Amino acid sequence: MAADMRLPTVRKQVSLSGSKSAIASLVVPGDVITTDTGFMRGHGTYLDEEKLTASVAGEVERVNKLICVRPLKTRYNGEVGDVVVGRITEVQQKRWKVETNSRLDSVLLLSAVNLPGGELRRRSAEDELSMRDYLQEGDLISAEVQAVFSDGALSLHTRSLKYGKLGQGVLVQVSPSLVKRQKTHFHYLPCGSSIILGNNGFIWLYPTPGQQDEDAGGYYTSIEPVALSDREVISRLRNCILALAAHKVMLFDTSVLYCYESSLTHQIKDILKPEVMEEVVLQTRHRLADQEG
Amino acid sequence: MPVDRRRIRGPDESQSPYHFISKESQKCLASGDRRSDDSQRGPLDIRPIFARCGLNSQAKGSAYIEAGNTKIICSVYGPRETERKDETDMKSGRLVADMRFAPFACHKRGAWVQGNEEKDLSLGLLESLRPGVCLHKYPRSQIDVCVMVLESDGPALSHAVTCASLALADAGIEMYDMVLGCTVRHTGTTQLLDPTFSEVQDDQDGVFVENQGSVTLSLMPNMNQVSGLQSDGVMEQESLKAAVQACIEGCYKLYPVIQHTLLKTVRKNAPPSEN
Repeated sequence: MAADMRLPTVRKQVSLSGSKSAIASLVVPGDVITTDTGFMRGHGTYLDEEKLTASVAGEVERVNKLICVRPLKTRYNGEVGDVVVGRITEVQQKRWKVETNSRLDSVLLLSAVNLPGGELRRRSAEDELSMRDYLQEGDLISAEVQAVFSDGALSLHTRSLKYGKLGQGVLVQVSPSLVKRQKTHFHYLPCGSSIILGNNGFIWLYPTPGQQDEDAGGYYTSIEPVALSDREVISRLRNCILALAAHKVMLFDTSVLYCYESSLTHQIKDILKPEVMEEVVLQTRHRLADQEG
Repeated sequence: MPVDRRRIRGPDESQSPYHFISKESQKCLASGDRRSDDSQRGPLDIRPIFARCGLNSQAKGSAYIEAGNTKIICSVYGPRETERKDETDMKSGRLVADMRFAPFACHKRGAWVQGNEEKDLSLGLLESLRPGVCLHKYPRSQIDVCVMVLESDGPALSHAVTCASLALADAGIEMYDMVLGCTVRHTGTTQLLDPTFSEVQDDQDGVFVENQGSVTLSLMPNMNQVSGLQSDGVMEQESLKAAVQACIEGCYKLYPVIQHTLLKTVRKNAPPSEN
């Protein structure tokens, strides 16, 4: 088995993005942002005797009258309507607790899932007792945020056929701030696999299903072996996503696809090497910039 | 009584050689303006600080600080959901602080298990940090702060407080202000800011010096509030007031360095702005 070793060297930071107006105002906790009272305060700030002060270390963002500070590391803050990918951590009396990389575990109520078979009926005691047959601890699901509780916990629902338990595939965890908000988060990539870009930073890659099993209500998980070509595509995509995340490129279907195409000249395992990563991301950035410009 | 004649044994009673070391080899008190460690600082100067965030990739936030020979690393985990034990947890979060010394940190080898001194220091750390963190923004959650002292040259609590607040800021936990710590050693009439280990042990000649003690203070500079104050020793009231004042000034001198470190980390790691 061949192993690759390298000595540590100082790598120069390749600053690839054009706009460097990001030398905007950076603040630390306790810094006064403004003393003007006309502004509304957003996340990451607090009001201390007429002075708007930062409570986290990060960049100050101003949108009209709203000032907020975006910290460099966030947990996922859910909004209604977001698509998330989560893992079941607990099965409780009438609900499941789902871990979604946020401050508190999210809640998936029994009444918010589709019963297998797609029936519409009132949930009975037998449904409560057989909750573990539907979703167990450790299962991955895709769901949508229905509501946000007052303490910040999210309430999820899977009341559509595109949400539900996830079968075979690969999960990639990135920072939530890197996933771009778009109209749809489920994509069928032309390279041969499908992707779910969860807003909470969990990204799910899976082989495109052959025929849709519509009437199973989202609980049918195929356990047939996945072909080698599909596996290679998914592995390459996973490495590309990690490369993009390391260079802080926003993740959406086009950027992932461009990165995949730029990486075809390298072997899958080489994509994770720093210099190959830089080259691939640089090409992706150029293509994205060309497309916009 | 059978006596073992085959082995050569040492004396029945033995004492540690440390008792017999003459401690005059550690002359501490400064003559004039120089401190015992050969650096150029005066009695009211703090040691130059090296601080970096983001050391530990597994933890949510981490920081490393070096002040002279003192080396401290802090990791922050959280906020994590806790089970609701009682009503108080529902409204605001909980901060748990833990301070440990590595066995190789002091002159004498310590044990891995926490002793009483470490428990006291952990409590002091918790009390200093708690006023600075916006716990009401994290209901039902727990934030873990773990400080490990790798080498301790002088009182470590003040630097641990600074390191912990850097790590909390690196983790993105909301805080009202940074919390910085500083220590002053008062002996007789001299005050030494940010003392080293040898400056703290200065009663070796056996001569009892009156009016000696140490004061450790934690300050929130922008809000100008003291969040933690510890003192030990016997001091006069005026000396105590002067020591507290000296600590406050020391913290203000420390603030620009810490601010610069944090801004550097933010600049390096800032997520892309959504345009």
